[in-house]
Amino acid sequence: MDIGLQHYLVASGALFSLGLFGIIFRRNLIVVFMCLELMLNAANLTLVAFSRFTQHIDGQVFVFFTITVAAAEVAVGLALIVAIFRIKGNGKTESLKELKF
Amino acid sequence: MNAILGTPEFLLTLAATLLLLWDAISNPTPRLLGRISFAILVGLFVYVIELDPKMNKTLWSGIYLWDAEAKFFKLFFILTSILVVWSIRLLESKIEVAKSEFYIITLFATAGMMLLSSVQDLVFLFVALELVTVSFYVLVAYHRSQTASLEAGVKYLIMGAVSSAFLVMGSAYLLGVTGSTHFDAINLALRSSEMKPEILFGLALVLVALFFKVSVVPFHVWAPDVYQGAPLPVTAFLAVGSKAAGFVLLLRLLTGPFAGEEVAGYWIPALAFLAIASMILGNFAAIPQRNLKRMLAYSGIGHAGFLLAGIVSNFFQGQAAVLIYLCTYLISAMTVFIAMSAYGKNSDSDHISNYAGLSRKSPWIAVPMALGLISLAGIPPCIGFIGKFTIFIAVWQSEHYVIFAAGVISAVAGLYYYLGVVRTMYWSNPTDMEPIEISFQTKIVLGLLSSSILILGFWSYPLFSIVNKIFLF
Repeated sequence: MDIGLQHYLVASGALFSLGLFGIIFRRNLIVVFMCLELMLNAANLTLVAFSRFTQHIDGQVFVFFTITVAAAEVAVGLALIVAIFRIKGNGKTESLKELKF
Repeated sequence: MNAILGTPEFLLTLAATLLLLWDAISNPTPRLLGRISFAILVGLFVYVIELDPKMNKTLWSGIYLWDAEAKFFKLFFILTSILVVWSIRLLESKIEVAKSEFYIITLFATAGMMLLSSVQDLVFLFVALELVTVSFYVLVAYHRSQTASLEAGVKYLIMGAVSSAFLVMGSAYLLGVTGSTHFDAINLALRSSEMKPEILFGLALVLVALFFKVSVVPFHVWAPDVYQGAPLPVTAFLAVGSKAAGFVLLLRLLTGPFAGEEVAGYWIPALAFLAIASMILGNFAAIPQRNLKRMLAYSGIGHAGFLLAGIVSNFFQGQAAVLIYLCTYLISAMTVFIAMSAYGKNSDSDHISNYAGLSRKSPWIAVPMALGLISLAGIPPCIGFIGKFTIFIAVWQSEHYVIFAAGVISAVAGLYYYLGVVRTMYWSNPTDMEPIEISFQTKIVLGLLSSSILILGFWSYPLFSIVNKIFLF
């Protein structure tokens, strides 16, 4: 069986949805962060697949930017989680319920 | 002379980096750093005004466009940032650690917004948008020892990261189908071939990402929590700067590569629906709110709905209405936020009852704040009325009568909660009668803002002539 563009798109779409579901349903902040990374990397996979099958180099260049930006986001995000651990003593999303009507 | 085009952003980033180094090496007082940031922004404002908007030129192989609209939005963002810096100066005593960096990160976010107003390429859009967003993650969670601020930071981070994943995914599909990330190339590809569902899918994902940024219903859930938990200057920056940044991108995309009738036939009904939902939900959900920042968040969702209605309307008229509305929103909202900052120095709570009897404690704060709120509500002598009026005219002339009706209903609902705050400030008894000291300079800033609310409300010719010049080049 030949692996074509569609296979890659389905795989990346599945990963993207898995990441989104994880963000909605998981209760641990670290896992939520991993799901965010999963979504971004699914998007990267789409970019690389399109780049490979349409012979445009732009997609691969885009991936480098995405990786860099994701690293910056994770740096800030982990700093935030550490600050929350210091105050709350855990990384559960349920402990974040101060702001409401 | 292409090199001169990118100088505003370049200079701002350079200045911010140098300030960061200087702060690390010789540790100047935050007060001085705030003064210098203010001076840098004012200087930059004058510099950008002097640049010629007519040179329709591009930088970096076409991904950075300099035109009249870019100039308008760059000035808009610099002005917002000037007022935000003023608000930070007022509340400096509330920041616990790293006071100087607060100013510097604000400068970086401003540079990102200025880049966004010139975006002509999806990769560039992503990077510039992330410059703004990552700066905001830090700013929102700045009060590290307060759980509210941290909670807001985490919520904003998760929502922001989800939206950037959507943006990359959408860009990937657009790239895959059209073969380029540049707006002109996408435009060309769309016009030369028939409509493909992949394009709509990619556009939908990109639009979802931008809707998160401008907090349009159903992508608004983060806004009330984040606005409430963030430090007050950051709330102001989010409400005005970040929202306008999202709208400049929507304008660039939807009046640029996706303006063709075939694609527009799909996005106009979708945006019309979201505009109605945002106006109604934003304005009605604001009514029961008792926290002023939270109330302003919901009203901001309503304002986003009005702006979307402008985008849905006829091409040039709708665009012009959006620009005018953004100007009026900038002036009115920043007046309210600066008045809140001037008051917030002495108080801890953003609860509306905390503002009871403010007129007797400090008329210098109460009068501008009341004017700003009345203007946000859109009552005639104030500038906010002009904004709402132009949007309504544009909507009516493009025959979107349902949006018009929803707009009128939500504007009336808006009167109720805005005037509720004014009533609390003027006709409720204060808990203490301690007068609030505000500095002479702050009085000047508040005076300038509130007089521009009134003067531009009566005589709005300058506003219209600025916006007209953008479209008649």
